[in-house]
Amino acid sequence: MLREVSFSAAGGELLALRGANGAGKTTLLRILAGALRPSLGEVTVAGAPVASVEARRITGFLSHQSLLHPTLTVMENLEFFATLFSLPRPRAAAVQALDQVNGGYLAGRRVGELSQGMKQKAALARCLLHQPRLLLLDEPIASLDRTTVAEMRACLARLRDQGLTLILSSHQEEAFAGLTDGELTLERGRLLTGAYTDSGTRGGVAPGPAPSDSAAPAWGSRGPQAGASTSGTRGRAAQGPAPIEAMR
Amino acid sequence: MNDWRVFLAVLRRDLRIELRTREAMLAMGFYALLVIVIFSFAFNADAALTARAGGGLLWVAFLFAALVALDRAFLRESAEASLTGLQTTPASPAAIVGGKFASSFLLILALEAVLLPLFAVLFNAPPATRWWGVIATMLLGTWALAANGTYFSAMSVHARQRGLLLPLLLLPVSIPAILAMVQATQVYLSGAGVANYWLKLLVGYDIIFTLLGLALAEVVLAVE
Amino acid sequence: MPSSFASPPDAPARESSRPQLAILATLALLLIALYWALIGAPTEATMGTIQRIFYYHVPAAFAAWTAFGVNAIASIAYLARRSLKADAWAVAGAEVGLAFLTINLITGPIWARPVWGVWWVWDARLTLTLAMWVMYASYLILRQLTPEGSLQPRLAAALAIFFAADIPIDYMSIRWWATQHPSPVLFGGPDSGLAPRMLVALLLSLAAFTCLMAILVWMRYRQQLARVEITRLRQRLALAEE
Repeated sequence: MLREVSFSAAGGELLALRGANGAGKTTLLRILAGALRPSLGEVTVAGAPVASVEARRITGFLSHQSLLHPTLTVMENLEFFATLFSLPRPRAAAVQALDQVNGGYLAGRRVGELSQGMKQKAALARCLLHQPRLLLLDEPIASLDRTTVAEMRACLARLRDQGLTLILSSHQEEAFAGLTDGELTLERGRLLTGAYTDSGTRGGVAPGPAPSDSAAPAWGSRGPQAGASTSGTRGRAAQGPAPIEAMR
Repeated sequence: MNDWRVFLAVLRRDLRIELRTREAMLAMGFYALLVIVIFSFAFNADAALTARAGGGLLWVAFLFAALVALDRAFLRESAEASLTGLQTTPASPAAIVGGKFASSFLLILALEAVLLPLFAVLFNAPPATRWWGVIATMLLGTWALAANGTYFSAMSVHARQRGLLLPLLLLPVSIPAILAMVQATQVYLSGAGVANYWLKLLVGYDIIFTLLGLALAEVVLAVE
Repeated sequence: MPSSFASPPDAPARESSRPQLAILATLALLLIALYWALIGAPTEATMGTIQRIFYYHVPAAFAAWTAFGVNAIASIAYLARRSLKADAWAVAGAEVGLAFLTINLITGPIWARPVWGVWWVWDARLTLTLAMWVMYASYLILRQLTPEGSLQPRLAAALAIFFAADIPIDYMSIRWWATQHPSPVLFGGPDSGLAPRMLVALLLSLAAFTCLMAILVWMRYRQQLARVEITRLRQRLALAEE
């Protein structure tokens, strides 16, 4: 269950989404990505409802699964997605996206034959097809080897510098050390860190930041607004489709 | 209209996947064949039986084949969670579901194309059979099964006992269509009688349920 | 959030007396209807005593159809407004309707056997009843097999709308089919020459069954809301504790 999660992020920022297992990180990312429907309340991305075409057009979603069909080639998968995004020239968009991730050599290969690292590259290309402004990453480097992780990190840094907003949830925090511009901490469905005042991509549920639940000691905060706190509580596994409660 | 492009893209993709997963097609084809063969044993198939009940027998065989093909409509999306991928795009659910209707329709038709000649031979279809009528019924009836079947296949993705749920949902709703298919086929097999009422019913049924499925596509695709 | 449907143990007697009253009234009505059905109404000329089943067979169908109507309307309302109450009405209507339809389906053959010597006839009405029974049973199975939460009501509502479109077509097709296979009509229709005392028995039974159906639907509706609330509270508890 998520409650009153509201935050702003500027373009060209990478926010780390932190929280214990079950705090709601995956749920939040999936809801913002449109893959999960909130059972209560409203979710907006950049002012548009999350299920709207506008929100979908500016959002990309990368998870540890590539979301590509294994029997098709990378190119076929990418062209298919490009069509789903109503891009006027799917093939060109696919080629360009692959170049962005240095994955040109993957084009003709079947996804099922690729290693995990290559699959994730192709998946990242899938996310970039429609040139999103917001990229949501849910455990993107799980089970990847070190080289690929380094490549991925470099790629994400590039994207950030190009002005994308990235929200990243990963258990392997060291891999992204030095890259993070700020943090969002979820605890039992509540957002502990406050919002950023810069304009840019705003994601939000209901108006108003959520109050902090526990007074656990803060641990290293970065970014303009401090106040991150990861308490040592163990969360419970998220149960099924999670309602977002909006206090009205 | 981009919906049209999405529809075609989904259709093409599904067909491509099926053609590449040749073992699935082979297994389905063989399954269809087996059904007819076993039926002919079980019912002591002969011309007299076909004259009385051929329509029903043929369509039960078609139903078995259809259920197998329909199950795959959304089963093939389970690898790499590709259904989630579809949900994160702005593509309209109706276009996606519509594309899957179409691909299921063609796949089931392919299976029936194998079944029909086998049936004609093993069941000694009478020479007076009006085949154009049988085929017309086949097209309309398959459309009905594919439309509702795809929709309920999408529904069962979210449920436990997935394999069981699809026929449980599809068959009751399809009762009027099944009635029509069987009766019409029987009329055409016997070479006499008029099946216009049944064909008209099928057309109406097809249109209504296709529209309904498309209108409610979002309900069935939305949550994963 | 709705908290009014849980009645605390110390509620004043006045609050809980209305449902009790309705239940008592319905029981009374059922008993009166029973008397009329078994004794008050005259014995039918051709069929004999077995015809008295008519006074349960027909009202059961009527109650079932009404309950299904509730299900259809509630399902549309749910999809339009996502109201949990609408969904509760929907599931209540389906379950109670199916129960009454079962009564209808069982009394049919019991009636048919002594009168025509066969358990089942492909009479248009019986066939339609069978088709509907299968449909609503599948609806309940769908609900059973989908996880609770926001998914179950949405899928169920979509299915219910499919039924609403399907049943008229079913009716037409089965009727046409039945004309091709003529079989004895189960009864000449409730308005075809019923003796006045028979009419009274029928109307009483209709009233009694309708009241019974209404009460059962209402009770099931409340139970569903309570069930949903309990699940919600459990979830919150799970999050709050540790």
